[in-house]
Amino acid sequence: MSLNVLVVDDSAVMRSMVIRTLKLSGLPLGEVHQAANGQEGLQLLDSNWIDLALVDLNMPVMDGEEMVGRLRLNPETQQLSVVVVSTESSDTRIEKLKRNQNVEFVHKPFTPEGLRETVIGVMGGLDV
Amino acid sequence: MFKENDSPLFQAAVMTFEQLGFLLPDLEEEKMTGTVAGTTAQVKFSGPFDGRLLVTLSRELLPVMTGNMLGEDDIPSLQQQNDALGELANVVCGNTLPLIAGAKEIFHLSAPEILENGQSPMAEDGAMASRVYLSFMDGQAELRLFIDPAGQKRLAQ
Repeated sequence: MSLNVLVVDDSAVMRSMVIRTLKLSGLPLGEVHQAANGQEGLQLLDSNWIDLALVDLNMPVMDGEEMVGRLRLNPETQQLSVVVVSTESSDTRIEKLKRNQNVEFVHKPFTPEGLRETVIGVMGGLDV
Repeated sequence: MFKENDSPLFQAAVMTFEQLGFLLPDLEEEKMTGTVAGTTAQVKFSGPFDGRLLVTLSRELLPVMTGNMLGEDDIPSLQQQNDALGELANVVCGNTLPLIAGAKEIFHLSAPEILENGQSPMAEDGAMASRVYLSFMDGQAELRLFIDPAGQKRLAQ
């Protein structure tokens, strides 16, 4: 099984770091799509089969919280595995996101091991 | 307001440079007293208290850190360097504030801005709460945290 991944972050350098970390982690990657904000991310979800989305929170145009909220309302994407990758450090906000939007959370700066474990966890385990 | 080497800003900066920029600071290096010349990113924040963080990387250090983040040996473009610096400032800021205010408080961080040469961020309101110099094999970094007067008063209580 290979994973089609969507990485949403307004920083191109951070998107590159996330993708490189995923590749180095030995995860079976298929197509990798990138978006610079939540609106672009939703457009890519409309036109591509995505297994996993890694989404930043603070972005222009549409932030990650709104993007995840919208994709959860769409029957096509409401079960999508989502990992929020953010500098957000408020336990209050993180717990609310996890509880209400069924996401996992990786804090920036992340380690390759931490990102890999979280991705495997949110995918319900992978044979990698 | 905070002692440099045990300040929240110092802790967050060292961790972020190590994990995001793959750069280890030389903590034995003699402290600089001047100002680092280079490129500066600013992140403003609001929440239980308001303020901003300024992060300056020397001209030699910024392309090295950007290359580390990208995992490439090629010299990164100016746009990539500014992007990397903004992301670094954002991550340092996001990790410093909960160390000061506690993990339950919610802050809003603005998008990072790259300050053009000659801009004077010192002209804005807000007293400097913390200042950190870090020395690396390839250059220096300077981080300055400003907190608005009401916030400083509240933290002092």
